[in-house]
Amino acid sequence: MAHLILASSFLSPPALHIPDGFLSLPVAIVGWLLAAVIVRWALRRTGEHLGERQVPLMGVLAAFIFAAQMLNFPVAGGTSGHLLGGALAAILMGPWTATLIMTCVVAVQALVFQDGGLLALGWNTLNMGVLTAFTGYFVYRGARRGFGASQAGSVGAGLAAGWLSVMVGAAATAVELAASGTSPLSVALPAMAGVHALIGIGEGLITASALALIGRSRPDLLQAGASSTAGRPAAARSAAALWVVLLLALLLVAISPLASDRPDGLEWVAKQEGFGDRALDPSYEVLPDYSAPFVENQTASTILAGVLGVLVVTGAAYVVGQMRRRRERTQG
Amino acid sequence: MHAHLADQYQAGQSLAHQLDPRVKVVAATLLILLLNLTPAGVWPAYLLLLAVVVALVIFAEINWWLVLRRSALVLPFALAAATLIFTVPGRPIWRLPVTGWTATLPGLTRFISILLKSWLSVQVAIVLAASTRFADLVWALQALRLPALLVSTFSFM
Repeated sequence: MAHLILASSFLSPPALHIPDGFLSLPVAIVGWLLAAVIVRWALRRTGEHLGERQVPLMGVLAAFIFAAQMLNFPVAGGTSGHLLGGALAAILMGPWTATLIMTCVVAVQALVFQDGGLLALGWNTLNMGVLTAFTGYFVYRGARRGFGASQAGSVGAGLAAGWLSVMVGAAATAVELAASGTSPLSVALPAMAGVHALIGIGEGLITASALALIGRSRPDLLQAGASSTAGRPAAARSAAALWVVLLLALLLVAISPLASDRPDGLEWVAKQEGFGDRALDPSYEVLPDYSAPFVENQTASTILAGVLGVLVVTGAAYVVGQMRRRRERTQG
Repeated sequence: MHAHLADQYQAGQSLAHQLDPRVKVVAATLLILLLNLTPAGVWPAYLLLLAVVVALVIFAEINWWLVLRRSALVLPFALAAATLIFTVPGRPIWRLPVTGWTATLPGLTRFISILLKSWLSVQVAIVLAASTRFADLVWALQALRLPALLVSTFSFM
């Protein structure tokens, strides 16, 4: 299984736009319902704050992110990634407006370019819109508080926000594929987390440099997102949210070795296919070497795969946490 | 890479082009829903659905090569499901050299079914996008009660 993870992480492009057919219908419907509720809520929230003049800005930002998603940058190992943009939009416009912007981007990609399916649109909106926007926004706010108000602080916070937003989106995608019985979690999660740990660096760099550019030329734009949730003790809340997101990411990864405690790490599929035909099947003799090493081999390798994934994400999260803490110490 | 929103539309005079965009959006969604409801391994059903999709492409008078080329979009994602071939328990049919993984018949069935569903679904969506102007698509979504703020954001894209 570990080989398979390595192979898939090097061959597959950033697969966050789930096509139709890869999600089971119940999973797809849950995604649509969740997305509908959240987008409706976002519409209500932004309706209160958004002036008429900001609608064109939303459209322009949506068009910018849409265009930026087409530019692939190379990532180590022959894969390539592209900007998701949710974190950037959320930092500029606030998480609710960013949710709407990303919903538009993802919907156009599905409708016009078939990049992502129509039934899968609910989860694609949640993964690439809602999750990246909120992760990006709260990580940025939290890290900003740690890094201080300097230009460098903004860049560092943008880097962390971009990277983590991609990781959360990727982990969520893996969980949805697993829940649909399309790919076992012990394979999908480490593979997705592994590839996107690299792609996320690109996202972080682009987010940070876009923020640096905007901070230099139009610092007033950076205030727009900050003011959209004014009136709340936002700083304290976002610092807490940063840790919640970090914990959540770790928790998701921690599930993968748990899942591989079972012989095949595949509860859903096992349930659907039933274990019966395996035991009754007379054609075992076709493959003489088959019986003995199969189960043990797979268990060992899925655990190995899970542990690898945990190490990658834990290490990365630890570095971000340390950076933040060190900054905090030197600041105060 | 795709360059512009307008590039996806293939001008034409077919019945599919002239159909009300609202009908097209709803019909495409329903057909994709139907495709995804098909259980794994029911090959006659897939054959029938393939015939429907082929009929759609002929009906809309869209270039075959274009549909095939664009539908390749889902192939990289197939890798996510490829693991099923080796992880679903069942009758072993083949052994991958060196690694010692065993492919099973139910695993292969599920994998091929997912691949077919995905490939057929994407072709339905391609026919919709290729036979409907972006502006008509946005109009149809508005008529189908998509919130105004989303519609105006679309129109600025």
